[in-house]
Amino acid sequence: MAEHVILFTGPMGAGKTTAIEKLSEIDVVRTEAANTERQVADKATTTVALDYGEIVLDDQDKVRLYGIPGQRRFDFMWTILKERAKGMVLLVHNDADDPIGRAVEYLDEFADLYAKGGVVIGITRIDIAPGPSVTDYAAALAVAHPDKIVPIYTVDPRQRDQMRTLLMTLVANIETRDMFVERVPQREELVAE
Amino acid sequence: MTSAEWDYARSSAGEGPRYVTGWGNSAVEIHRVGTIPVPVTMRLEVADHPPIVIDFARRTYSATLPFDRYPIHPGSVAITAEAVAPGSPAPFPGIGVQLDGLLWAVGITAFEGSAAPWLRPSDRYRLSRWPNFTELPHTMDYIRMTALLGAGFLSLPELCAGASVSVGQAQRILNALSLMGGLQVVGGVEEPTMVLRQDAADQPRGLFGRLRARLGL
Ligand SMILES: Nc1nc2c(ncn2[C@@H]2O[C@H](COP(=O)(O)OP(=O)(O)OP(=O)(O)O)[C@@H](O)[C@H]2O)c(=O)[nH]1
Ligand SMILES: [Mg+2]
Repeated sequence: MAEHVILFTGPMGAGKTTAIEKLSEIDVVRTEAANTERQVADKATTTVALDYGEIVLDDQDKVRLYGIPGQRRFDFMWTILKERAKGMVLLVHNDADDPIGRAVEYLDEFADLYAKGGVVIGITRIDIAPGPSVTDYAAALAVAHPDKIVPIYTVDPRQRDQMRTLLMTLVANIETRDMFVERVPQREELVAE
Repeated sequence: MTSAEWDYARSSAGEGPRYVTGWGNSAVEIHRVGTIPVPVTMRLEVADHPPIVIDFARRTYSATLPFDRYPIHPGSVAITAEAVAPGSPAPFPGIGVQLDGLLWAVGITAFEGSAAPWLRPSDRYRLSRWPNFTELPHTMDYIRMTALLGAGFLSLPELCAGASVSVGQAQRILNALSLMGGLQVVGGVEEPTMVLRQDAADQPRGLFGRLRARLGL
């Protein structure tokens, strides 16, 4: 049985729980508790351990969607899940403090997945904070990682079709990396050298 | 920039309207003007329709009608382009919308599956930035092709083979991405160091294909 683990991470209030609820075919396992950090994200509850949802492929296989609260990303359980993960959806809300800085910080922490092409970025809450733009994010990431082109989309996690576009982009990106091999030089080229 | 360079850029933006037929010729003008290294504004007028005004410096445009409400084959498009001083105000009221939306629509439709004239058959292409697909009309094939172009330099036939799409479909996305300035293009016949595997397209049981079927996309 193949395992397809996709992680959702990002700062508090970015929309991770909302995103998994839109994608999941089962009732999402949520671990919400009263939010004691209303100054960070002004909402009643926050995820304390994880979110878990699934998309069933057939009776054998499912895509497992795990949401990691930002403040838990160093816990041992997450270290294990990170190794099992095929890819990661990084959500950053545009009305966060220094959202671009947060995006760079998370990408550095998930550098292994990033190197494999297994990361997509969703910028959320652009209806509340229209800037910075996708171009601004891309420019900052190009400085940190000039050799990588990472998909960066504006998304509203409450919109199922947008979340599906994000998820399918991630899967396409992971799969197409495996479709390339190093070219074997032709005999004439070897002779010429 | 020296004043001679400025004059050159200014004159290549063109004076007075040029009249062209169809979106293909309009796309050629947009592509040409889009590469001029000074701020340029452009106005496209189709008879009996509101104008489309482009601010290349801010990569925004303004039009009161969506692109799909314009004729598919406009008989005459009057195009005026003008170089403006850096920092000039936008050529339309308000902040406009992202230019990519217009360039994507024009690029996908303008040449109807043939190659844009600025692309050559021997070229190879690689993605230089991801289009913001949540803002653009797209199919899953476009996402898959974009992912392939993000992974290595590909020729048109390789892109078709890797994504299992027709030449027309692959050509449309190359036209659109290059018009948006989202492709690195290299000419010549030299093969890249990373190439598609021979069995690359044999992935009906791949996760992408299965999820696509499951989600009905
Ligand atoms: N207006 C608007 N609200 C959004 C958007 N995305 C998410 N939200 C809302 O923002 C709030 C936070 O979303 P959650 O899904 O709880 O965020 P989270 O990432 O799970 O947050 P934590 O679990 O606390 O880390 C919810 O009320 C969402 O409905 C968006 O694009 N626009
Ligand atoms: Mg949550």
